[in-house]
Amino acid sequence: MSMKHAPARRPAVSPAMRLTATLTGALLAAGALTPAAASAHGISGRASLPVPAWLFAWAAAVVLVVSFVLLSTMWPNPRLQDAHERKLCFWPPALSVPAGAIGLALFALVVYAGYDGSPYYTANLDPTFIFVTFWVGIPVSCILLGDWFRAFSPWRALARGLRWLGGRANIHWHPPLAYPSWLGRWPVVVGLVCFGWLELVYHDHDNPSLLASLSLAYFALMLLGMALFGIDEWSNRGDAFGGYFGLFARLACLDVHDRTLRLRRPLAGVTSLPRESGTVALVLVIIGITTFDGASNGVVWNTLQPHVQSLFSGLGLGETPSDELADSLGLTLAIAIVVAFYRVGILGMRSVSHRYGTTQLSRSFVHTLIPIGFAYVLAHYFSLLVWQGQAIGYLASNPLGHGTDYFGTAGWRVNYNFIGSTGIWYVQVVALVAGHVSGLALAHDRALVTYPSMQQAVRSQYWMLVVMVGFTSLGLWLLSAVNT
Amino acid sequence: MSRPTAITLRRLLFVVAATLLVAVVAVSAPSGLLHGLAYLLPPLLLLLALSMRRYPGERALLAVMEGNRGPMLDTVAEPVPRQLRRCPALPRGGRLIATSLAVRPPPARAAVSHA
Repeated sequence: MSMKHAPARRPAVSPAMRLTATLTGALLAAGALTPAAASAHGISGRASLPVPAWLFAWAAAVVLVVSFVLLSTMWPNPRLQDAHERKLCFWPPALSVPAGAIGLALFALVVYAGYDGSPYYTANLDPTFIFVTFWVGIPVSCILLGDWFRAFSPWRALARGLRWLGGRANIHWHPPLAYPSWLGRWPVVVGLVCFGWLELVYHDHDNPSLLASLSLAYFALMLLGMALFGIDEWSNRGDAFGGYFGLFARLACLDVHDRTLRLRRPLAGVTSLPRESGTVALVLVIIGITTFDGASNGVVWNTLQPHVQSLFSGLGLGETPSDELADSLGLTLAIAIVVAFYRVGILGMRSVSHRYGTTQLSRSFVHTLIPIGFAYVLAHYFSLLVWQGQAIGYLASNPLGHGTDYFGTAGWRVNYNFIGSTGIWYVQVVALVAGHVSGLALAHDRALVTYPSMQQAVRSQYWMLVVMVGFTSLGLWLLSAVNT
Repeated sequence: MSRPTAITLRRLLFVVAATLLVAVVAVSAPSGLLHGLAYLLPPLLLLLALSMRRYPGERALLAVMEGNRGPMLDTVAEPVPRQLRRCPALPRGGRLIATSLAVRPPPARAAVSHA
């Protein structure tokens, strides 16, 4: 790769362009200075911060710029494009049997608790287990332990059990359909959007019996998919939760395949993400759902939402449907904003070199957003995990809310002094910055093998820097708004 | 790599539109959105620079990168292909005279192989 390049000549800038740029900068600066008073009732109202919260966004941007410079100057060769695995030990496949049995038993408990337990969401196991332990706890643990959910997945365990029993009875089931390549990961995308809608938009989302019914429906859908397309094929591409957890598990250093537990280089697992249809949408939807979760508690959406709601109620809809429609629109808008963010970065990279099309670039660099998606999830749900997650302690002893005390923990209560608002804010900032620096490193590494010249690689990374700084700033803004 | 030097009308319109959008937002937005501008200012400024085809610090960055890569890649002598290393043999005798006098000399490779 040649490093000989002529110094780039600055383009001629017309006075009109200078004036426009100056005007824009002035307006932006005005916007930055205006909220100085507003920040007094921002996050600093709850978390005691030494500086206004928006300065954290600026500091994060500085960290990212410095990381960008260091990566460009001190990371001259690709290092993450291969897995760089090391075998640790043999992994007995028989372990999947007890794991699957535990998964099935927990699923049965959730369904039973939903139908037979207390209808109050704080007293019933279901809402806390599904929205905290399952939805937030498993992705976080997958970062440390790898894709352990695959072994515990109840629908996969039952399908494998049925296949084993069929084999013993000399009944061999062959999937009648081949999984269409155009479908890719779209079932996962649809499943996640539906779950996000249930969690963030639907009014009756914490109704235990409804959650139990939906869990059963999902279970049946998964069994049908595995019967039609094959267990592994559907588990890899059609299972929304398996796909979601598996995506984050690629960030882990631990991985099990070919009956071996392996240790791999950090972040190296995501570079082998298959570039199939729906993968870009999956990553963007994960960030979009979390973005709306943050925005729905913030000032901007809470100011706009009543206007949108009144628009729908003006059409004759009731209060609840119009509220849900308004929030559905907000969820769609949040996903669209995230897509637009990424699109800007990709179009910018395309302007650097026309060697690759936007679709190629989009698929080639989407793995860089996986650590960002995880950072968003961790940052936005951290307080939920450390506070509401404690409720599992007493719900395990009293899952139905009928006064049982199986493990002697029914008297436990949530300790809100476990970590304060200030501590949570710092964890959120560190998570966001670390996630985006990781994304930047992945993007830099991919650019080194994508572009023939160093100048093109660097210029492409300027655009990814915009994407990363943009997502960091957006995330911090949303988090500070939540604490307002 | 050459970079475009002309500011197109399309780009100018884009920047003007962006400016107007920011102005409208700044004037009419609720305080929360204005508050958000404080957070989003760094990426917006960077985006503005890049949309004008400015890559701040690019030359310095490339100079440092070239300096860092130099000892690793540039000074390592690549093995010269065997065929290039072989000294071309000059034609001799009558072929030398023929080559010198010919308006269009025979191909070099053929001359060498028949020498």
